[in-house]
Amino acid sequence: MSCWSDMPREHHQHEAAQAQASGSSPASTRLEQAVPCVLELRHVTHYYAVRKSGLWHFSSGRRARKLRAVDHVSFTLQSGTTLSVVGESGCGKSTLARLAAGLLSPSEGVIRTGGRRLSSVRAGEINMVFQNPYAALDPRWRVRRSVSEALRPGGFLKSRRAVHDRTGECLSRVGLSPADGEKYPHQLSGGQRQRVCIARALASSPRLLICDEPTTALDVSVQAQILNLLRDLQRALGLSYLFISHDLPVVRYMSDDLAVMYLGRIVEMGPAESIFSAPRHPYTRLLLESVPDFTAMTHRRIRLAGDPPSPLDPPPGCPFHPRCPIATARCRVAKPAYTQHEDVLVACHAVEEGRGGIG
Amino acid sequence: MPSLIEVKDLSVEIGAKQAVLLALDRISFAIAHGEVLGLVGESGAGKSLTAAAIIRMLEAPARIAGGQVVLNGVRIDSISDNEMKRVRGRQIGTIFQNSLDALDPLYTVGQQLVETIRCHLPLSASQARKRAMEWLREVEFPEQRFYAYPHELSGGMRQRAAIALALCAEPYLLIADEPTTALDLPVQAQMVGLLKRLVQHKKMAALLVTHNLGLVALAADRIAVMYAGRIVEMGPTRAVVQRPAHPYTMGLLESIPPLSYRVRRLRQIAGTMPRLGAIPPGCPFSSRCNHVFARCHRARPELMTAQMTQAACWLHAESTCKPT
Repeated sequence: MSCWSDMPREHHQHEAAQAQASGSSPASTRLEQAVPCVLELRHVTHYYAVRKSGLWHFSSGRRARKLRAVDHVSFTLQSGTTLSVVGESGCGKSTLARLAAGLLSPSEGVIRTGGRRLSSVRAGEINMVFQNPYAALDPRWRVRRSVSEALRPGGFLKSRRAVHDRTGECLSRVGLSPADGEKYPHQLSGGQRQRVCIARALASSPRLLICDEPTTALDVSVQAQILNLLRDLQRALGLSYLFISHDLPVVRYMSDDLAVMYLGRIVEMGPAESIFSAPRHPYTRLLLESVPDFTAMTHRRIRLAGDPPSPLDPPPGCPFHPRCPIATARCRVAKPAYTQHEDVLVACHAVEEGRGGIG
Repeated sequence: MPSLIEVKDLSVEIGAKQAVLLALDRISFAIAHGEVLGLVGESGAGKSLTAAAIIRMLEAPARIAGGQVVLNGVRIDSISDNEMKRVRGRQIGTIFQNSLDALDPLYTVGQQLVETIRCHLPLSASQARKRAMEWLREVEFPEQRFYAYPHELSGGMRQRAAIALALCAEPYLLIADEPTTALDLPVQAQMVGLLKRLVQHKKMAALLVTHNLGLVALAADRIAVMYAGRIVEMGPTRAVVQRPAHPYTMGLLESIPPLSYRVRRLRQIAGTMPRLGAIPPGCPFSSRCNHVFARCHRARPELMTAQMTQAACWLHAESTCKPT
């Protein structure tokens, strides 16, 4: 794994030594220089300004509070691979998707793509596929117009003929016929609509697609079709995906790398198979345990109780400590730094101290 | 065990004179005391329509075209609307996907519970209040939030309040239509576990309508799989999930990525469920089925015994010449 050596080192000297001891970082640093990664986030933080709502607060002129939706997130996404971000709702994963797509600009930190700042990227290099294909298409536009619209901002194709051909090509890439281009969204099923959204995202030949819960609104048999389509497209076009989801089985199927988010922070990150086969962070472990999995069919006790705390008022120390079964005094005061365990980075005092077992 | 509710050949039509579509085609099932029946299928299969038909909450162009619904020995499909009103809430509790719709934003959770309890049971205000507190404890809702308004609660807490509201009149039957779809995964599992516990404890019967097979496997004692307005397979949960007999159930299970290992490539069922007007004659799944043979196009299969479940599939008819 190449990219994990660049995680924030929150002033912990021994960590560097640990990372060096694992032996993976020197080689990976070289690789990173040779191939600029598709997406690189460094200490990216995003605040939302939140005003007190309600009738009596509208003119009070009180200063807005800061909601830290994304908190010092760093990762790199290598070309042709999929990095998934998982977490409960409100953990900041959709904000992260919007930051990576350039729809929001980070309050702090830098986002680069292919070695350049995100702000200097031309339109159409990074595209997004949204959760709800019913809302993502203009109901009054024919499908062909929605797809060809995506070709306009870059000014890639001058002639009408070329735009027409490219649109047809994109539609057939996603398993639709060029004749479907003449239809309106309401004439299509949910799966077909999501295919249109993918065709539109592909039109400008992007290198990176940001998929924000792309199959959550779809039925399972259609979900399988769309997931397989995304994987086929990745192989054929060398695409990279930033895949945002809360559906862990889907994530396991799609991902090369995985980042688990909790309250705006990444708590565990590494190759997906390493994390799924041996999760280390207590949050990851409880999250995995809480998924009803009919392939296992064993009755498991759900131990992840309660809701995550409000990001407006995050707990001190480790953000997970109020729900963590193995939290100690140290977890309540000190924010855990990242430590490397084989190829996985974990932010947890217990894992660092070698007492990772739960219950 | 005698069943608490029995649905026999329930059919629902949609539409006016010229174009009448059969949306539910002779649905039959029964649920016993303390049992959870999971009704699964993809959108448009008729799951929610089945639930709505049972509580007679069908909307205008849809209407019951035939069949019976027997609850506790009483046919509730033919009683008057006024009598039905007393059945709903008192004998049948319902939980819907969006708990915000079930709760009144202008009243506190406690007020709504007390009102519902007093509406259905002959209790004084203070008795009802005590009962409401008990129910909140039962659904693991913090009692100090008794005076909280719905908007002050998280999604999981709201759904707990909605469950308490559905159950506080102690109905015989609970109908939960996608009760967890709007919630986070860990909360979904908690909620389904809670429902199962309550149903067993109170000896109710429950119909759990969902598209999530993982959740159904966790909570249901038996599963009925719906496709294009029909039940195509029914049986004990373990049998349906581990040894499905209907090709649609098999395809559905294979198209869900497993959590415990990584598959090379997901199997997918080609195409989509046919629209109501375009359901093929014979077996409704014949247009997408890998095992299709001549008989599937000619005649519609009824539920028949297949391995450990009941499946509506000609592959399991004894006299069939199976394709090689």
